[in-house]
Amino acid sequence: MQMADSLVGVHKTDWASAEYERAAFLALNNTDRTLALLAKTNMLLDLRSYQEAEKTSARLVPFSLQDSLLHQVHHKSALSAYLNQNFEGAYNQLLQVEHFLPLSYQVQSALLSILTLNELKKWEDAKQKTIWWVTNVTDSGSHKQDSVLAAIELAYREKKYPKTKNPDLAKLFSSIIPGSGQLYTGHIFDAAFSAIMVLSGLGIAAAGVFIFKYYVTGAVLGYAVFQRFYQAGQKRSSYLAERYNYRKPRKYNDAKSEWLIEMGKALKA
Amino acid sequence: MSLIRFIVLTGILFGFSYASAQDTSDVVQSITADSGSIEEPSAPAKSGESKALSDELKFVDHLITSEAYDDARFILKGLYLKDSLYTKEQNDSIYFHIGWLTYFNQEFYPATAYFKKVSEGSPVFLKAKFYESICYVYQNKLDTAKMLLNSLELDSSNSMFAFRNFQLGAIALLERDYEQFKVHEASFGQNNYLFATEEDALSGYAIDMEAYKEKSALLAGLISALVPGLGKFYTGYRGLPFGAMFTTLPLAAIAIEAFIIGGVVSPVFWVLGGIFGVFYIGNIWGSALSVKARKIELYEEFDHNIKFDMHIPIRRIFE
Repeated sequence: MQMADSLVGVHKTDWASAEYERAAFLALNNTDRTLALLAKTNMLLDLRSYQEAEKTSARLVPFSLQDSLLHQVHHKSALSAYLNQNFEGAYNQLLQVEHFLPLSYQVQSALLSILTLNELKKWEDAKQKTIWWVTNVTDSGSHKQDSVLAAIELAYREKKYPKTKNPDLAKLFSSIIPGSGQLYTGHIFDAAFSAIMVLSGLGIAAAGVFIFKYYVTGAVLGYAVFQRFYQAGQKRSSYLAERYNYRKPRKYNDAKSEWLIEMGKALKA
Repeated sequence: MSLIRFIVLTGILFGFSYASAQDTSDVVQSITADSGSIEEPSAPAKSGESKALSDELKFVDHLITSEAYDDARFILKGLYLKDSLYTKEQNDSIYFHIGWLTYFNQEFYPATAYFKKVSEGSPVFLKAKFYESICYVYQNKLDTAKMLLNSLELDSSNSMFAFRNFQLGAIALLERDYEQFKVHEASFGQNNYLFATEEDALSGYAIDMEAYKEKSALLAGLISALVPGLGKFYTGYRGLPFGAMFTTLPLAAIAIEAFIIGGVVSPVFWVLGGIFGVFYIGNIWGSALSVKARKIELYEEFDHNIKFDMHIPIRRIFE
């Protein structure tokens, strides 16, 4: 372990990784093995190898460990999973902290829990967790607590939670009235373009049949344009709804994460 | 301080510092304390260090089992660079492990080189040769794979004898040598439970491959000339023909209409008729070519399955 730590100090991370593994392999008990794998996880997190960190932390065995170490296991596993964007995995680890570890450890992992709940779009649970966290780290009835609780109420107003769009509904709208699906997702120009192109198809058909008297040519060309843009419009509106569902909560959560981290720093101070 | 560094490095070279992690830890600490630089891991020396190497290889096995492949590769690289310090048998184990890891990473060409280095008489020699042969198969060097397998001295009572027969049978199928396959197939099914399923699969492929009759390109083209797209249906495609049909038939209708309205000298007919002509001829040509394409696709699928069925029992037997 000492050797691996020294190697990390001189940026020989490949070698350090192997030595942490060796320490885990040679460990006589689960505590030593856990310490070695936790150290490797920390190193990988520092290197931003989140996938590898999650893979390593998944090998941690949470048995016969003292509470402090057990907390480290669950917290680091959750952090690795969170950074690897496996929010369900992170949530499961944090539930272990909540159910099996004393209050002080739950408080230490509270911020990560809130961030994870935000990512899982469980904003009401995130709000309750934030209130719980603040009440546990500030003095009851203090001015600081009151002002932070008021800020939480303001930040987590239900009507501000990002609303999602239903991709199937967007597709259905576009099937009935071309362009309406895009309009439903808030893309006016997309909607206009789709509607114009579909109408152009009908226009070509009409011009061919009624003006130029090329009945088959008009019908075939008109249908080809109509069909192409009608189907593309359906797909596009479904895609736009999916994109909206990603971007809107992303923007909301990014702002919340920044705010929560700042609040965490302020509470510590 | 450089004197200390010299002493420490000399110690590493004579192999007394890598025997345990604690020893090396001291070395690293002394080096970092001195100059801030660290040498790559050294390896146990020949004299009395075979246990250390065997422990190291057990550690590598553990890393592989734990799917820590990068770490395993790092340790093996360290051992490989110091191969002059080991006995022949020890080096064979190292080469085999590196070869296996490289094979696992689907780098068949370098893997072959490592397996080739394993010397005859080594406990891992047979394993290495079977792995080497499948590396050749994946490189489509079927003759080399066959030659290698045939060069192995195996007793007919040895289970590996039956396994070699299985591998040779698979290679015969890859070569489309059905007669040769039948020679090997005759010895299939001798209670080789480790690869009985794959033997059955090979027999199934052989029946299907032999039964496959190549369609006539001329006929496919002719059918497509009569009904656009139908030639591709004849060659075995199911979705494509309709695509071709839905493109060509409306274009035909447009061209006919232009002919009826404007006559043969009408520029509209020339343009629309030309477009139809390009699609029509292209479709006939495509149908004729689809005969070959279909055959290639089918055989590629067979080859993939055969290679997979060769690979699975190798891992099942040797790991």
